[in-house]
Amino acid sequence: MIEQRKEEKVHLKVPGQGVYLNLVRKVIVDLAEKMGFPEEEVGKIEMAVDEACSNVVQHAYTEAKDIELKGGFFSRRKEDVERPIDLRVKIDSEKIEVIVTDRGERFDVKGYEPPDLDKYLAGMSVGGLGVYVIKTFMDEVDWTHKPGVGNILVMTKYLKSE
Amino acid sequence: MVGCEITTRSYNVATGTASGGGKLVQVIAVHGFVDAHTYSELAEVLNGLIAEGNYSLILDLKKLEYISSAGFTVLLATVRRVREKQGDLRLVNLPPKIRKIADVLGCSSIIKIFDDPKEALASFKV
Repeated sequence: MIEQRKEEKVHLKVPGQGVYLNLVRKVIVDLAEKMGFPEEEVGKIEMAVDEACSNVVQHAYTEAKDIELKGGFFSRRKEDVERPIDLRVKIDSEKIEVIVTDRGERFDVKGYEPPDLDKYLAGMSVGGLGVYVIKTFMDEVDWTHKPGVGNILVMTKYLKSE
Repeated sequence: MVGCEITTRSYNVATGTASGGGKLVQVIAVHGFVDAHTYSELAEVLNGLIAEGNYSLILDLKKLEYISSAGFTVLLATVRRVREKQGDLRLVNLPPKIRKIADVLGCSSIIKIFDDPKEALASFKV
C-alpha cells in the first residue's frame, strides 16, 4: 500500500484510440488498489475513468474528424493519433483525483440530460450512460472548457467517503 | 494487447452435456474485457446466435476482467431480443467486482444471475 505523506502525481498520455483504454484502466486500478480503496470502489473508479476516456475517443474526436478541412475539402480521417487521451492523476492520503483533458468538441455539461434508466434497463439503448456512471461513481465531478486547451474533466474519489 | 475472446458451446438442457437432442442452450464464455473498443465483438457473436434461432443463452463471465456501459448495453439489448422470442440470456460466474457494478447500475434486477453453471443450465428446463 502507498503511504502518501504528500501529493504524488502520475501523468499518462496515450493516443486517442480505443485500443489504449485497457492500458489506462490498468494504471488507474493499480493506483487505486495501492492507495487502499476497497475492491468495489476500485471497480467504480476504473469504470468512471474508462467511461470518461471512452467518451473522449468516441465523441469528442469523432466529431472533430468529421469537420476537418483539408486542402479546401472536408475530409474524414480514420485514425487520429495526434490527439491523445491526457490523464493526470493526483493521489494523497485522502483521495485520488483524475483529470482527463481532450482537445475534441466542447462538452456542454449544462445541456446534459440524465439517461432514462428504465429505457436503458429495458434494452432500448440510450446514450449518455457514461456521464451518468462518472457522476454516480465518483464523489466530485467537474467539467470545464478552456479555449486553446479543450475539455477538462476533474473526478475525485475520497478514501473514506462511505 | 489482448482484447476479448469469445467461445461458444451448445449444451443439452436435459442432460447437461454437449451431446444429445432436445432443447439446446448456447453457453458463451467471454475472456478479457468488453469495453468501448471490444463490445462490438460480443454483440456480433450474440446477434449471430440469435439470427440462427438460438434464444436460450448463458454467458459465462468467469474470466471477464472488465465490462463497460457499452458492454452492459449489449447484454440488456440481447435480453430484450431473446425474451421477445420466449428465450432468455442468463449470466454465470460473475466476478464479484463486476457483480457489484451490475447491482449499482440496476442490471442485476433485469438479468438473471447464477453462481453455479449447472443451476443456470437447469433453469432453462422450466
